[in-house]
Amino acid sequence: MASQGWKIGLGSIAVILGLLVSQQIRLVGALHHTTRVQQGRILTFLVTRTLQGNHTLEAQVHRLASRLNQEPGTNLAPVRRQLLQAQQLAGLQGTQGPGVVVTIRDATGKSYPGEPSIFELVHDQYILHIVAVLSAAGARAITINNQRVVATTAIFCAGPTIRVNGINYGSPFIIRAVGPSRALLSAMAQDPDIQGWSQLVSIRTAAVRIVRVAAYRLPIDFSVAKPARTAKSAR
Amino acid sequence: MWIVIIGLVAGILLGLTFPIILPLSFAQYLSIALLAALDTAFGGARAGLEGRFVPVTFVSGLIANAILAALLTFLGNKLGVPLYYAALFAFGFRIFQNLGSIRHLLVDRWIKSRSKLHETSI
Repeated sequence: MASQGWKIGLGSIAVILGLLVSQQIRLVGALHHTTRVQQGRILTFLVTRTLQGNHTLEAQVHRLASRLNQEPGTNLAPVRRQLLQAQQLAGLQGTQGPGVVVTIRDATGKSYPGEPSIFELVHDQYILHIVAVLSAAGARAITINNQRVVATTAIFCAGPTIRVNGINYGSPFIIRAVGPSRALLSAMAQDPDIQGWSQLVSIRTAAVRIVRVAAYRLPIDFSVAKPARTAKSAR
Repeated sequence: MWIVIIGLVAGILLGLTFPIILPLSFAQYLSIALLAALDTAFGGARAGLEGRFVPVTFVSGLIANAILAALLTFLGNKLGVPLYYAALFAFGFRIFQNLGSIRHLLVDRWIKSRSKLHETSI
């Protein structure tokens, strides 16, 4: 009789287990079909398609440029020189040369008793100031986590991350600058603000013989800002 | 043994036809509780093969493990420490140990039955 009771007990437990297994399967299925996941999939698809489109267009640009070069009787050298200068100034050209790499990390050491946790984070003002110091010391091309600093670049805090060119980045922040290494190092070492912030977060600067700085690759939107009419252009 | 399989199938069918689905926030607790139950089930199968199966131990282990694992996950979520992984590792390790023992026992049995058959034929 007792054994019969146990059999029924085990059977009931098996039923409950089966019920839970099927509930879990349905839950996981539901999770996969939630709007967030679907949105993520759609976004991934859109990004992939856009990237493919970009590659196709880049190949087309290269093809057309090489065709233009082969055209007889065209002397494009001065135009190309001007274009290269404009591209370098605008940050549309990848650049390399001697420079420095500044690595900034959130504080890893123990905080002092009563120290606000906000002091342990890297803030947008640190990045902005370091970029300004490097520019003033002669840096000619700067990237923050491979995002080129250009005329439209905005750097600001977005929660615990910092948004550069519309993309959020978390610690560590790596600033690469092409310019006179010694001047850049000395400017970084002598700046009182950077000296102070180094006590809170980790700021390391190293001179590098060849720093490779990426070109600006994001869309360029000047739909609101139109070129101003000058006397020269009116003529 | 049959009653367990029939019960499991009945439970799965019942769960699939059940109109209500548990809230999504329960998914983590349910998964770890199921893993705990799976660990106990394999432990029970091993004990059965070794002839040491005690129903009270099995049922109490099944319920206690499932509840404790879910509680540990809940506590981990509250403390911000992923204790979930500790349970996951422990149960995963034990499941593989039990599976290894079950395989050993079944192979031993098969070898013994083969040699017995061979002896009787001689």
